[in-house]
Amino acid sequence: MTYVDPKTYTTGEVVSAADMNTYQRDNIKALKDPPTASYLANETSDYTTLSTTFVDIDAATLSLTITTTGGDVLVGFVGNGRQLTANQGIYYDVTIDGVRVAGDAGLTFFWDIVGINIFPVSFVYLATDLAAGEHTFRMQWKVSAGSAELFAGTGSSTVDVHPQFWVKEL
Amino acid sequence: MTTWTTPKTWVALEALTAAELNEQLRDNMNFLFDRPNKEYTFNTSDFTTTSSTFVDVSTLTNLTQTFGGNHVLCSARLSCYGSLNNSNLWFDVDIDGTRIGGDDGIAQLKQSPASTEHIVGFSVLVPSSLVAAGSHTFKLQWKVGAGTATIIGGAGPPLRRSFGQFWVHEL
Repeated sequence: MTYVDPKTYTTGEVVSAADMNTYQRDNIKALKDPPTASYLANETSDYTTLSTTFVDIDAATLSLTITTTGGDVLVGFVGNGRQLTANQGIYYDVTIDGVRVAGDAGLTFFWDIVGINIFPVSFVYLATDLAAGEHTFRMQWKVSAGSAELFAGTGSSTVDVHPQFWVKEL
Repeated sequence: MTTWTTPKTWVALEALTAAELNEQLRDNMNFLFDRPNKEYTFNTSDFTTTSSTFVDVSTLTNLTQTFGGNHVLCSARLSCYGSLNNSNLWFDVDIDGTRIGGDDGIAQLKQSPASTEHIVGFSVLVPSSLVAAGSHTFKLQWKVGAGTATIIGGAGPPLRRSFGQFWVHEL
């Protein structure tokens, strides 16, 4: 349901059924259920990277497109991964229409001094000042060095955790 | 919190009654203004488990609320640790008796050395298909690979009392 700017009523105006349906029924429905998209990974292989510059984790799966009505958008992610090289880090970021939202270290990161730990990574980012229209959100990552792994729900014993990426207009 | 009523379709020449305007406009707008939510803050005692299968963290972290049928944001921020080096801790959320994660849940911590506290956090958007209009119970659950897992609930020494939280909020 698409939200439309509420009309301004004037004195003496007859309130029509069409206006009630457009500005009350449809707008209230739109506010209750704004544009939303999500992906819960359940892949046959885990995500991996050796890249020291930000790259898409998976442009086919961890990429979401919604058509907004001009409101702010919540962008959320939860996943579990590890850096396979001691004393190195993994950095995560989001692109909106191809542009990363954060600085050189992304939105969040973790640094493992031993190279065997598994950490959960989760964030909720508030994207503001997005014009009404279609927008594409993508998860990206990089490593400082070494290699990173993001478990993708492959069913492997003790690491069958499923990352979720989601976006929702507020 | 008020309840949600599916907006009606108005027809030409229909009389607007106070009862309908209150239900359709007042109550629905109040619902949108203050959506259903529930939370638990870890600010009393610690919680522990030695279970290798998913169990409830506590009855205190079982959150029951009546929702309007839309997506629910479910989030946790926990200060926790395992008693053994390289131990795994796994966390999941059970909705009305069904966990939403895979065999190993939503969030996983494998830590070294032993008893090293970490902040485990996750935020999951639960689809509306799992939260139809009505009452639902969200349970924070966990399991540990070996040894004892601990969630700090505020009973620790100074500088080790990070108060965690588990909450659900319809969006």
